[in-house]
Amino acid sequence: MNPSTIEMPRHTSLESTPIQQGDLRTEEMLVNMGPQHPSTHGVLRVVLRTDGEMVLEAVPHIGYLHRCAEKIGENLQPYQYIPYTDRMDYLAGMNNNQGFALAVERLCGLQVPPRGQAIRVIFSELNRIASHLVSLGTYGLDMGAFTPFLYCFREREMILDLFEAACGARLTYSYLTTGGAHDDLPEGWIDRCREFLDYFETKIADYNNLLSFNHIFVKRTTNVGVISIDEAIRWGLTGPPLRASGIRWDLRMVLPYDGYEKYDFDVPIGEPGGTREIPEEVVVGDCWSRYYVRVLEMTQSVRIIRQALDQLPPGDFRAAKATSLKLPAGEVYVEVENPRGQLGFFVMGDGSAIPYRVKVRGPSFCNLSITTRTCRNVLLADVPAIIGSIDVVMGEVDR
Amino acid sequence: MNSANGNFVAAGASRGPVRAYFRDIWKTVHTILVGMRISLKYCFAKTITLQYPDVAPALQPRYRGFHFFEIEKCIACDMCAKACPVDCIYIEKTGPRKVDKNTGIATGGLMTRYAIDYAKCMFCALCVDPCPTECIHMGNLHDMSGYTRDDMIVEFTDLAKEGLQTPQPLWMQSEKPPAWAQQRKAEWEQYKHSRDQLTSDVNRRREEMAKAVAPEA
Repeated sequence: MNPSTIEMPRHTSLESTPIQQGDLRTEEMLVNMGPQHPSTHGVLRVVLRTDGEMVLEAVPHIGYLHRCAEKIGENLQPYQYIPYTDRMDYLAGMNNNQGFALAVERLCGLQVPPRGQAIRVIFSELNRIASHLVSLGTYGLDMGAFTPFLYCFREREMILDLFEAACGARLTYSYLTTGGAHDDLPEGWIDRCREFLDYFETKIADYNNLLSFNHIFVKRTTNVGVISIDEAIRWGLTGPPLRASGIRWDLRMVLPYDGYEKYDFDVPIGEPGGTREIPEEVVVGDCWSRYYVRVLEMTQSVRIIRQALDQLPPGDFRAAKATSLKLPAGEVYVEVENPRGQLGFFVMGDGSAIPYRVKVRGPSFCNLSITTRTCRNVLLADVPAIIGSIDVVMGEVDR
Repeated sequence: MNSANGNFVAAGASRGPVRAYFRDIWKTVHTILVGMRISLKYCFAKTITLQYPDVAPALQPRYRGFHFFEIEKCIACDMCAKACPVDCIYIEKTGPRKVDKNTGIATGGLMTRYAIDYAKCMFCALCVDPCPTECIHMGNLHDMSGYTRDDMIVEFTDLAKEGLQTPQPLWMQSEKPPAWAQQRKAEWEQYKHSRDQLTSDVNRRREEMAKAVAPEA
């Protein structure tokens, strides 16, 4: 796209103007949604300027979960900072571990052994499935469908069991660390993982029948919160929201890391309705597309894990001396494809063992910014649909 | 309106709003029934929900729970405390300790305090890696709670004086624990009281453990 054609979004004023409709004079009202609203997956406060059922403007207010994660990174050695990265996007701890470890390794020029790379790919893809399962389930909850949530969590539990067998934790893993992985795979783990994949593939049809193609759900989410390609690029969206708008951009494909170039997979994008199995009401870039891109991504993740398990090389799983790194003077910025988008770590070293500066680019933070644009002149009931489809994790927005 | 095939649906889209209205109703009922069929299948399936307090959770061997600490092997070298990202391990000693190569038991100065503040602990297991004598491990306890923040600090030296090793979990403190916990509790109690009757290596180790924290060594 030609950058000169990109227009900056026009700013809307917050001044309230009374609306005249016949004899009836209505006034705008400010409504606080959150900070503890069940549909926001964390403590997100959205201030809605409403006129009756219409939302004229929605402004997200963030910062309730701020824990100085970046500053902590400037006081600890990289391997000690790994447990903190777990707690940013707490639904995708493995991917966060991987991102920070990659940044540090690139700064230090540390080579990860092939087995370590394959283990990283397996676990980050498993975690992508687990994270998308939460996303699907809770999005169903937002739309009033309780049942799919239980099925999604049943499968997620199996992934967490696999994680627990490998690293001993079910949420904050600290497993993928500087130099590779913390431990080798336990005995029999590969067979267990294969069993799970065989089982899981049959369940995706269930989710589709329960939720994706449920007509109530389709009517609630299609043609709602449509984000065009231009807008998606202009607002810096990444991950499923970007791909749902029709852009085939995935860092695993575009800038492969940890040996993703060895695996064969597709990057699903949002497609218009009426073709194949997609309902005819669907518009590219609407809430349903964002939801369905995640469903398709899970099948691709299964493909990647299968290949990684087949090609798993023997040897070391962690580079030597990965816990006593001296960070050379210099800076590095590395992005990885998180389930929610591109997670970037900027690490600056000054020759000591502790980074001089750590900066995190959170995908949820950037994706959340578009709510002010999409939640304009929509119905009040569509606001949870739009925010839920972006799938923000507040721990990572605030960090 | 007796057909469920796609042709009817596609044709209905181009007709008037009344057709579209009824088409929506039909599709809604149809897709709900499709979902109900999946749910119905599970009505006859085996329950997979774990009734937690009554049934013991199946923890994996690598589970990272409350620490299992072997005080008689500890040389109080501070390696674990240095590796800890949140500085939640407190170690105090009267003099340098050294492991006897023959017995594998540390001798020398007295361990006056070894405590972990579980209000801070992240269970990241970074303290386990650098230990030169392999005396600290991640245990399989996950159920411990307290009423104050001070309750969260576990004094492993005080536990060792009673012959205990890991912090007392919730299932052990309760008056009427579930069946699985009762058994574990009985084993624990037996272990605590039979310290004197134990023979050979284990007994010697327990003695050393007590010696390590005795008031006058």
